[in-house]
Amino acid sequence: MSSVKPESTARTLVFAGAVALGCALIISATVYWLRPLQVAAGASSYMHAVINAAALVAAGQTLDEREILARFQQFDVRILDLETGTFTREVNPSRFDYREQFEAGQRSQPRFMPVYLLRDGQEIHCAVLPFYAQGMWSAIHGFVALSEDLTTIRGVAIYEHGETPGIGDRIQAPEWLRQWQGKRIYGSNGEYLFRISARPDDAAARYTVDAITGATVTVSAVDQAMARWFGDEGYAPLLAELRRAP
Amino acid sequence: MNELLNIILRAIFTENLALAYLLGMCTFLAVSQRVQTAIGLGIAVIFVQTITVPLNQLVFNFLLAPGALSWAGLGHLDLGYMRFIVFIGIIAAFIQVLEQVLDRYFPDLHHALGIYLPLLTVNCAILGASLFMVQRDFGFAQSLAFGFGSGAGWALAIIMFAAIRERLRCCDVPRGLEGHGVAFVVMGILAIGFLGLRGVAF
Amino acid sequence: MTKGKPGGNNLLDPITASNPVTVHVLGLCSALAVSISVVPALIMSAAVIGVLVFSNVLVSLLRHAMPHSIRLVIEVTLIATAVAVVDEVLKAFAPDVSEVLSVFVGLIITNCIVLARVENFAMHNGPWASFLDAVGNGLGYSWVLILVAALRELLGTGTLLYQPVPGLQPSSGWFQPSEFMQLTPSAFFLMALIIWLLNRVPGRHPEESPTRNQDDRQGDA
Repeated sequence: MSSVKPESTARTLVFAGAVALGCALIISATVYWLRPLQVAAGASSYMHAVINAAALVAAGQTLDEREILARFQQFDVRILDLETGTFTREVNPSRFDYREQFEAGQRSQPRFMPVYLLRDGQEIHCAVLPFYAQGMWSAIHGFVALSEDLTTIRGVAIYEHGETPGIGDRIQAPEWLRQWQGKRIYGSNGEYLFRISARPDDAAARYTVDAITGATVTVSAVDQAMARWFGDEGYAPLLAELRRAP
Repeated sequence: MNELLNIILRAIFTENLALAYLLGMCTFLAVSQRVQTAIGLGIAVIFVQTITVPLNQLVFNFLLAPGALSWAGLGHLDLGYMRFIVFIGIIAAFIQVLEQVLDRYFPDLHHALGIYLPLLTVNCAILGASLFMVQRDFGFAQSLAFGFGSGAGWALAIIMFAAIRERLRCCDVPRGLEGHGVAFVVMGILAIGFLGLRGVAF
Repeated sequence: MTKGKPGGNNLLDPITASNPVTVHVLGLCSALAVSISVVPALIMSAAVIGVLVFSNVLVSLLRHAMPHSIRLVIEVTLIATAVAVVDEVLKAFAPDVSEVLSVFVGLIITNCIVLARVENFAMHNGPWASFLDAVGNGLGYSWVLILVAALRELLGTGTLLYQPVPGLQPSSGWFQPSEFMQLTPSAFFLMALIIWLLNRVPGRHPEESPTRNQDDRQGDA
């Protein structure tokens, strides 16, 4: 504060205007330059989550963007119309982002969901199904991958959430997600039996994932979302159909 | 209604900005020597939060969010990246105006809160609440509830902390822990206490 | 504090003797919130150093032209610009970490260290000294943050940089990782521990200069 110069209102205004303009230009230029990269990165992390759910890579192995794209292209992408429970050709799968349906105010019940299938000849080898839950504060988006029987969980990935750091965000922890592997979603007659529960129950162990201590809200949100998505309103009719005729 | 009450409760207890997210720590440590000052600061925070979070919500939804400018025929624009500058500007401007208004019409109140108001411009909790509002997609009513709740939670935390600190002054604190060291221990214990309230909900 | 010193001290002092975090307890908000594991802490440190350097150097260059009456607003605007740029860069090049850091990158704007350095140092010193001061303070902030994060990750999950550490695994190790270290209170206790250890180092009496602390705090406003 040693060298305060005489200041006029005009000079102050000009200076403020110049700084505001300069800052706006810097930010806009950065965004203009980086936006394509961000879109690519977003698409890439979405595809990476699908690949992770399907357990196509060993834990700890990192993929670069080209490898992610190559692996993702092995999937047969179909769009499911939840109203009819069958695949539709109304929507182009390559440019479809199911989250875009929320902006139109259909957050609770979107009509179309993408389904990612890995085929071995004609047989379905693995099916990756997206799901989302209303968490503590904001939506939790993730994928569940099913093995060839379309009942046993092959892997899970959570790729977007806004849960509390250190508490709710442990739904993303690999140690917890690993527990899901091998659990069954449906019983022998196709009834929904999967649960996330704090009380261990030996009889239902093959259908039950342990809850996370302290993260009650988050975990029960995921539990309810699983019941909705894999119930009759969600993927159950499609899965039953695919088991009959892949 | 239940949803709004839940937001308030969560913001005060389970997701306390100070003790669960560690926001506003600088002010928290600097202005918690006496309960009296902590109460003044707490009230100022509640007031500023309750107004700035909904205010920023309006600005974000009508100016910055993707497609928000469609009323001006500019629906393809997404100015979300400007939110940092805009939010901090609005908070700073609001606090300035508030100070002037209080000074002019409510001199008593200004005398009580005036010295804390400028501190709040750079309080992480104030800006943090507005950023959480964007991340969590809050509507106007939810923003109002969240603004009030998070302010009240922060105020509660600093008042409790100041009360404990007042007592600490007559304690024999181990050498090397005096001052900030023991303050951190106290905050840790308070935070553990708040962990016990995680299930609180309607 | 406000005088320019020879280059070396501007860089080294804030790392140790006048560390912004442990001595002046500034900038903790974001420091502790992202200290659950090392990777976010490293990225956060880089972001804070970037913002500090950008705003310190710019303010130092503009310091003679800046009208005194609006200097705080200008400073905050410049800092917010730097933060917006850093946020966009993170979203493009490190989307996963950007997701983990969520709102805490934005909160660098209100990181008291940045405004305190800009107001107390860059306003009175040349660009080179301001650059060194920014890097020094950034590193001073970083080592505390990374140390806390490393301890919390090691003791909380038995990993470091997300890689399992032998001996700390739940199944085979001699130490059972404790979930408590992943919760916020542990960050407070670790901070207390670090401050205590630093205070016990012979010849260091950081608490004895309350007037200096006072100056820095006024810089927050």
